Amino acid sequence: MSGDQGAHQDGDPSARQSVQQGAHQGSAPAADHPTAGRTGDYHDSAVRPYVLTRGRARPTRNTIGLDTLLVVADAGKPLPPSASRQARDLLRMCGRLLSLAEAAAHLELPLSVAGILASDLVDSGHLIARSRIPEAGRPDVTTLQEVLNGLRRLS
Amino acid sequence: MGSAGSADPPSPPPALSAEEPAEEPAGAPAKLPAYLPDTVQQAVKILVVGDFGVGKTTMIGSVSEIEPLRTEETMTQASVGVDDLAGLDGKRTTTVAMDFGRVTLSPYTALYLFGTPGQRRFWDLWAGLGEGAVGALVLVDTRRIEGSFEVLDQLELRGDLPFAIAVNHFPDSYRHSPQALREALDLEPDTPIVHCDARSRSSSVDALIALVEHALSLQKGPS
Ligand SMILES: Nc1nc2c(ncn2[C@@H]2O[C@H](COP(=O)(O)OP(=O)(O)O)[C@@H](O)[C@H]2O)c(=O)[nH]1
Ligand SMILES: [Mg+2]
Repeated sequence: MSGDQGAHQDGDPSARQSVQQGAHQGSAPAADHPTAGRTGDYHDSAVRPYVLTRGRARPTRNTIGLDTLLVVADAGKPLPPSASRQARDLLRMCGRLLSLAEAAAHLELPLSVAGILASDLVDSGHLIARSRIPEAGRPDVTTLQEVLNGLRRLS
Repeated sequence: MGSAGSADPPSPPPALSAEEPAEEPAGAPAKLPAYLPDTVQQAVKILVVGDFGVGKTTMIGSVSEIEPLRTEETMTQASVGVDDLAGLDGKRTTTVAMDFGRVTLSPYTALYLFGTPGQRRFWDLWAGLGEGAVGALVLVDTRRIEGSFEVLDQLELRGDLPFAIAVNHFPDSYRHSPQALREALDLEPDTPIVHCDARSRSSSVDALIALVEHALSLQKGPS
């Protein structure tokens, strides 16, 4: 209920912490914030058993992120009869190029569930995942320059 | 490159005539998503972070070429500080809704903007979100400057994510000098501070440009 119980006490990285105390009551319990109820940025809920993902909490490969681009590998390849409706929906959603985050949002699946399903579909050869920036890495200079040029064209 | 399978768009679910279509959740969008051009080979992401009400959703909407989307991520009970529950049935999680948008920057590259709450209780989210990101644009509302402290703490704790400050102006904001802000926020001398209006596309894009320029200079190394 109160956001205060959620305040993680690990590490006070900077001098800001002391200043922050005064404002704490204003910023921590989101329910007290004028916009929190309206925007519904988060809510607490009981855990839904991860039936869809057969109990796994993480993808088998960790190369799938919310910005991973997915597209069907072979439109004709059928899913096994045991495949879940959510896996079928995801495969159909990715009939053309789309990020995992977009597919999850359109299907109203939690990101973590969509990630596990996508990972399985990549493993089984139904989906292709296009390259993403390597884990723990940063986009290289060429990529950053391309992003910069693209943004400058927009402004 | 007209790939073979792309002629037919995703079709409606195969006829399961025994089942009622009324089973679909009410209001589920039936329309097709806005797909990316087939030429796009890579996606990059920028996090738009800050306190509630600071303008994250507004900025994402200003820049995005698609209707901004929402998706949910769940966090474990540990991250919300509930430690007295054992069984799966009793566990509680916090579900965080993140909004995000997209802009295709070239035939080859798409940029995603993810709106991420900055408060300490959401830090677990950042682990995955920050991976491979260009950086984070920190929105600051000068009327509630303390609201950005936890975000900045997290960015410093991580240490690996380039960030820039975008001061979002509201009608009753006081205009602080950049130096006063830099001191109030305890920023490094090279951390960019820009002013913006999240409702304006060009102003929001300019703020993103400041972040990417900074990320680029960091990547190129000290000069
Ligand atoms: N005047 C002004 N209002 C803004 C600006 N950015 C956002 N707002 C308003 O502030 C409120 C909260 O913005 P929102 O984007 O929902 O904040 P979020 O919680 O960070 O996603 C909304 O009513 C916006 O219309 C801005 O740059 N200038
Ligand atoms: Mg928002």
